Amino acid sequence: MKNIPDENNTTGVSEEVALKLSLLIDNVLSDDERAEVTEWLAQSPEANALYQAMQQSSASLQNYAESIPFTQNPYLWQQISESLKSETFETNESSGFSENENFSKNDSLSVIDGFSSDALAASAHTPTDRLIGLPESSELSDTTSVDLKDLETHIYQNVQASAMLGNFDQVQDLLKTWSDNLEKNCTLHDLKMTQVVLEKANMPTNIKALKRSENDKNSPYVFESLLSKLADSEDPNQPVEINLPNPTLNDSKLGTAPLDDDSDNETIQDALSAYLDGELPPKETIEVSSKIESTPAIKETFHGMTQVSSLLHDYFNTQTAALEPPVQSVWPEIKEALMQSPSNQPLSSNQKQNAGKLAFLFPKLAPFPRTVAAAIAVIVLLGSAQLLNQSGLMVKQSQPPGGQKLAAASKPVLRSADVLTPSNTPTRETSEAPLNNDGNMDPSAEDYLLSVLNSEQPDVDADMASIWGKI
Amino acid sequence: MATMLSNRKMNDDIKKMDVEAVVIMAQSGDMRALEELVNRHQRIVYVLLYQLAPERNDLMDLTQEVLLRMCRSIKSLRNPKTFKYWLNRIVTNLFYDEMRKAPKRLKTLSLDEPAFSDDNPDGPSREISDTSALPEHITLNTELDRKIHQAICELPEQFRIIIVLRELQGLTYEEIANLTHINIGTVKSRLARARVKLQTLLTPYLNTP
Repeated sequence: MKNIPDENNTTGVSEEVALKLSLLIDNVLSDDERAEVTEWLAQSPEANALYQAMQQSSASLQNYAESIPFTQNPYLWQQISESLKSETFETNESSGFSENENFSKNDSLSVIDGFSSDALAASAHTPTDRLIGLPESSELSDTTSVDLKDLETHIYQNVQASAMLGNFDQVQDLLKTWSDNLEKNCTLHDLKMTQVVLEKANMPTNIKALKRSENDKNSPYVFESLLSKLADSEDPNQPVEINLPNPTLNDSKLGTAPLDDDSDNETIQDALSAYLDGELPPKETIEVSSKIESTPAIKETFHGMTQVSSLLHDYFNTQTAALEPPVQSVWPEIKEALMQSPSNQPLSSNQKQNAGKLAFLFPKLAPFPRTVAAAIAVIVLLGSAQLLNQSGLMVKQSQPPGGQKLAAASKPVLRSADVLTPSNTPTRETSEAPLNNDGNMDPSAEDYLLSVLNSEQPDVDADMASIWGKI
Repeated sequence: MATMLSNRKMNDDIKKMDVEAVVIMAQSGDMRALEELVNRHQRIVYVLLYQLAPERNDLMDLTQEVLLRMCRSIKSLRNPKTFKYWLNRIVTNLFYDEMRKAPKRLKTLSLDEPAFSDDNPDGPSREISDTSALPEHITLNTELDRKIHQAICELPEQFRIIIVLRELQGLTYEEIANLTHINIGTVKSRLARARVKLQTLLTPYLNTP
């Protein structure tokens, strides 16, 4: 056999060969490498058998993923890794997964479903509170990636090959390395990767719980248990069953956690609270619903929240009905306050219409009733005329016959106070209609109001003539 | 007489109208509609303020202030369908205004100073205000009600306002976020914290699943 690495594993092929075969399936080899691996396949029945098995696995990816854990499913793992790297996950038929189908699959697929939504694409640099157990990106703002590329290389290439070959010592070392790296520093991407790994092994999804369990020096039992299970498994084709207690969800503090910094519980509580209020997106709603059904601790917490919400609802309803405030209506006081500051009263539609007609002349007077605005216009015009007249600037030749008389007649009315006093200003606004002590309009005022409301569109010229007549 | 009957009928009609229609009437300057709005909402405004600031003993004044602001700015409400939200905004704005005023130091009064002087012939008021529960507050008949009230009072204000707006007013997260000028994520977390806190305080009254 030319250039074939030593066959020193249970499958009869070396790790290097297995890795290259996996890469061949993934079509990521260079032409030279492809030619080399093709030659290996032609020469080695063991390599050929492994390649056939891997191809068959890939042919039915969905079934394969359901039955074989990730560490023995390099193709699936590579799919996940690649998708995470690109921050998008294929949900179409080519990937073998559809969103609706995946969610109903076993736990090992649920995480894929979780990452397959549109939110995933935006999750790299935005808050990811949509995923239970993942911290918000703001919590990771000061962190930087630690050899992410190398880390991924270790994980999705070497682990897959090592696991497939039954080299669990190697898997253990790799996972240890990963764990150590996570403890030092990590990015959101790392956390996602870890979550995928843990989910695929039926492990808890709460990354921070994992990290905390290690920080607590309770031994890194999550990883160690996984690794011990992997080490105990002699047959690489047998799925590794790991039924670890969930360190977060079994936390007795979950249901009664005080307002402390237990961010793991808080994340779950946030999701449950939003779920209770119907404020979660549809996909998350399904996820949380599933979690509630499957996890007693979460179910208990949710039950407590529901009860609190129900108690509060009843309490507020009772309060609203039972409280006797205000004993009497506050309307008289409010009405009095409104009447004291009529400028603050709401404008009627008539006011708005009327004001609008002269607004182009006096923009600042737009809120005033038309008649008031018109009166002010007259004052300004006549005042200007008088000033011009007194200063001698007015050209006498242009003065019409009788102009002197008009000017003289206008003098007594050039008192803005007189004109602007509401009592002698014709008004049509309903809000200024007189009110009796009960807040009801005087009958005469009501009749006037109704006549105004039922009248045709007021004529500006007629009003102006009316004002001129009064002057 | 006919006018009075007509007036009464119109008042009755207003009482039967949807709030949106009443708002539109009020916006057109109808004082009866404005009065109807005040009468319809004074209780809920009072209760809302009571839950937001249970320690206050001037809730009637605050209620009146809210409703006065409502009347004065009713024409600025563009969409009558959002009246409830808009009114909530007035309440919360007033609540925040009052919170800002709260830290102000009270004017001190010397007990050695003569109560009456030439400058102040009426004398200073030395009556100590009664801050105990007002009669209208004493409606917490059951132990559970008292416990719930106590638990709500124990919540920090930023949590209390969120839970009240959600549970009492039924506002959405987005509406609460807009009202309180915080983002939806914060609303979500504060609401969860408040619920868990209440859950802890009310544990004896909760049934196990």
